Amino acid sequence: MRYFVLIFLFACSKSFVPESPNVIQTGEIKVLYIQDEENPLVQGTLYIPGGSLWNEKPGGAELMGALLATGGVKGLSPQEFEKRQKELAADISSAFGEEYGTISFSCLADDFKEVYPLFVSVVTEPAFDHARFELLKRQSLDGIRRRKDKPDTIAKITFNSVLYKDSVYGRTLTSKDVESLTINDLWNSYRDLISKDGSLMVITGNLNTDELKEFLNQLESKWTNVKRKELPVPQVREPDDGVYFVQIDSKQASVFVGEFSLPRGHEDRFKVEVLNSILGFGGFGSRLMQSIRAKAGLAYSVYGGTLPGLTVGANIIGFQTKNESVGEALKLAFLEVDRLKSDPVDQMELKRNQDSLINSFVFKFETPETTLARRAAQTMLRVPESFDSMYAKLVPQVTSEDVLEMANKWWSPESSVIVVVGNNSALSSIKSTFPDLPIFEGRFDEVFYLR
Amino acid sequence: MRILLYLILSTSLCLAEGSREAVSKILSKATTKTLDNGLSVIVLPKGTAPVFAAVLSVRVGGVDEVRPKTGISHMLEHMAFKGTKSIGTKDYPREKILLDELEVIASRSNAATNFSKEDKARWEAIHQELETIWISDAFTTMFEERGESGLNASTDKEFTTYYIKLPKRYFEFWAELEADRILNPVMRQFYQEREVVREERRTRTDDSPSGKLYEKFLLEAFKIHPYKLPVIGFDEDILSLTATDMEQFHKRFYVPKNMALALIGDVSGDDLKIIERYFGAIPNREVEAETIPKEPLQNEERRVVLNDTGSPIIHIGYKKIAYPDPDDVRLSMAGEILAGSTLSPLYQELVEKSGIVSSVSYSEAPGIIFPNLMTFSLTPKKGYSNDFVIAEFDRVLADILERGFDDEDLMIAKRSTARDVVNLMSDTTGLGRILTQSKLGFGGWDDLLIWLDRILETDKNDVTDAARRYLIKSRRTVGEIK
Repeated sequence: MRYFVLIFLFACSKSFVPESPNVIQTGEIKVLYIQDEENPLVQGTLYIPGGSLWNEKPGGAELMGALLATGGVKGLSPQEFEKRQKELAADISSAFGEEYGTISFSCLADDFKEVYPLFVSVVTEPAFDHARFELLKRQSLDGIRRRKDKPDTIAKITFNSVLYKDSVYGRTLTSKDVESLTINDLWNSYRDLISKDGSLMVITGNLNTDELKEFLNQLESKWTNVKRKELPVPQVREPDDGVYFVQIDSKQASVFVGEFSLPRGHEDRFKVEVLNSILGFGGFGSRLMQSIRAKAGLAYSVYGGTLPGLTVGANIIGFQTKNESVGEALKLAFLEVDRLKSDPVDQMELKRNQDSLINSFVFKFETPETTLARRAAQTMLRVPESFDSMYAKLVPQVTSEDVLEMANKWWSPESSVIVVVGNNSALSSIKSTFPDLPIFEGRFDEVFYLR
Repeated sequence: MRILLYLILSTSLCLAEGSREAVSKILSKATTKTLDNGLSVIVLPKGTAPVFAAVLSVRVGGVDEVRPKTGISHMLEHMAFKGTKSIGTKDYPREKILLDELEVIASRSNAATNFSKEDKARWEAIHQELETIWISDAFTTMFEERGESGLNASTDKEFTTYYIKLPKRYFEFWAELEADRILNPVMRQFYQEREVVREERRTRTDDSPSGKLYEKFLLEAFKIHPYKLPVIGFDEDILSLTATDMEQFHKRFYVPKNMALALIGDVSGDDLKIIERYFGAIPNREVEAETIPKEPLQNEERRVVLNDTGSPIIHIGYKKIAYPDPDDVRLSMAGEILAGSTLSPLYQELVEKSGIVSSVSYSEAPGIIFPNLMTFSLTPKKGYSNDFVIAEFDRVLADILERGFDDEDLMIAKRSTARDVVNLMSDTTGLGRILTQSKLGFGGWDDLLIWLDRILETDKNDVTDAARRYLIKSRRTVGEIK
């Protein structure tokens, strides 16, 4: 095994330079670690590219990720494996999302040498116990059945399906998908996804260097590498604009507004960060919060901004308000976007938001765990390593003209997808406030269906 | 075999004590002080980043409320972000005159819900003028531009707690503003914020099957004790609150002796000088005595059932004693053994083997100071009736209690609990919350360690005995969505 240590620095707010991770390349596995003697724990996470966006079968990556650390390992049943963890007061967990998965461990530093073989087994010798697989399926089905209990969940699922339509981004797992999954599908997902190729291990805590080397040697030698399949950027089609309404019996309506926006890595992203802060991601002082919550008292939760994505980003505005107020709150939200498109933001408000972004940047490096988790997630999401230094340099340079330009270039909420989940008063409120908007009524049963 | 078991258990005990020592080592760096006015402060250096967490807890919450003014503690928590006499206004003397006039109108319009035509017109005119005076959310934006993280607050049955994390260079700035909002709060934008809180209630309770069930469940489980009342307040109670109510409630409970402050991160004992400079200026007052009614002994099972509200949920809550009674830690261990993990017998029997529920968990709630509930929560799967699930739960629980807990179960529960406390150490605001609330609730900064020591000292026979005495049908309330 080759060990070489590199040091790289994050540019950060003002004079603070966060702890630099050591970089170890052990054969094909790249490892970042930070020694933290104050921490009584050792915590490690293996980040693995790939996820539900590239599923061969819907649910394959997600259920494989859930069963990996709970389905037992070679030589130990799920119950024996969990008991061993409990005896060591260790936690080993795994999960896969849209674009990447994680396999993690956490234990007292003194127990590391007993815990890491368990972690290596999860990565290299999972058992995918059949009874646990059936249990996981039953639990997933129960979760799907309970979606309808939460108006906000109905709204989120509906929003995804109408914004991203029939693309992989718009898919939501159904009970039919879960019922059709077999244990072989999970093994296929495991073989496709759990590869050293592109994976990154991060470790922090009070580490014994010899134990760390032994751990990495064991992981390297027991994990047979296979070349990862290509992860092409998924395609999407433009959504059909209009109001999508789902009627439920509720006192409050959940509302989402959305349209496509800039993808991750776009050159406008730092200017859009400032716009986000001003509009609705910037806490109590943001314009949507001020207008809809503080001054009008129409919502407890309200936010808005651009979420960059792999294929496209999404401009979103979200809030919950009593059914009768949907039209009024939506009108205020549109007014705030219109103001950003027509009036340059004044220097004081601009500076306040830039200061907020730059001064709070230090919290992304508050502990060794947050520092490494951020770096690893950025790697998985294909964010360039220069992002943090560019952020610190470019956010303060954004001008009010830039914000005006970004608002006009990227935002047009009146011609977008608007999801309203509420009772008939919500629908009446929308119709009377926006008589020209097309309305598509649908129903929700696990997922959204147009009537 | 016996020797082997002894070795395993001895090792596990050492491992649990390892967690305890790790916690003790972190907390040993703390400096504590009680200011002359009675405010308790703890300063705990931690980490290397130039940031700090400040957590201020006040011993006020749902238990200090009565109908028709439920929700007042939580409402006051919202108002604490609205600024002070010097922050959030362009002209406080004029604002004060207008705010006072609003209260006069509110007092004759059923808390601003039923206006005469003249009052309505005047109410709107005053608000129009106030809009020109107010600098909306100036207090919060002053922290936001300085890079705050996690600026927020929470209210529960016994405590209202304010959180913030900031770069260290703004420590004195924070101290000045935080002390100012205790000394000089202004009930600005109150009637708009009252609507915000009603929206919060719609989200958390009215349109949430689980929220609605929990509200009904506590109303049934407690007959007299204010644990029965919802912290967010009944909607009609929220609507009856006035800014005058807020000011009186603030004056009564926001007293230095009734507050504790934790500072964690890039801080040292030297920072106490700054704390004394700003927080020392808050006048020393006695906390007005209050009588919180004692819940009578429960002698028969109670049931509350919601139909057609959502997917089935079952809560089974047993009345129990609270810390520092020795039975409290014994019952914590019983809960952890019974339903704390996927290895627990309730999980093994009801989720893994029979598959009649998709989850089972336990909690000790709704507060920590007064006798509370050990509640087991179950989510029945489709095809299994609630009655069948409850009967199976009873059967499994009775079997376990008849057998009693063994040493190995208890040791694993101790290790898990000790490890949870270690995990808490990495969350500076969470740790600040625990430290301040244990100081206010039980009197000592070190109660977390004392509690952990008591956990580690529990004995399997005592734990079994406590579970048999408390987990009985006549002392439980069952709440269910069918």
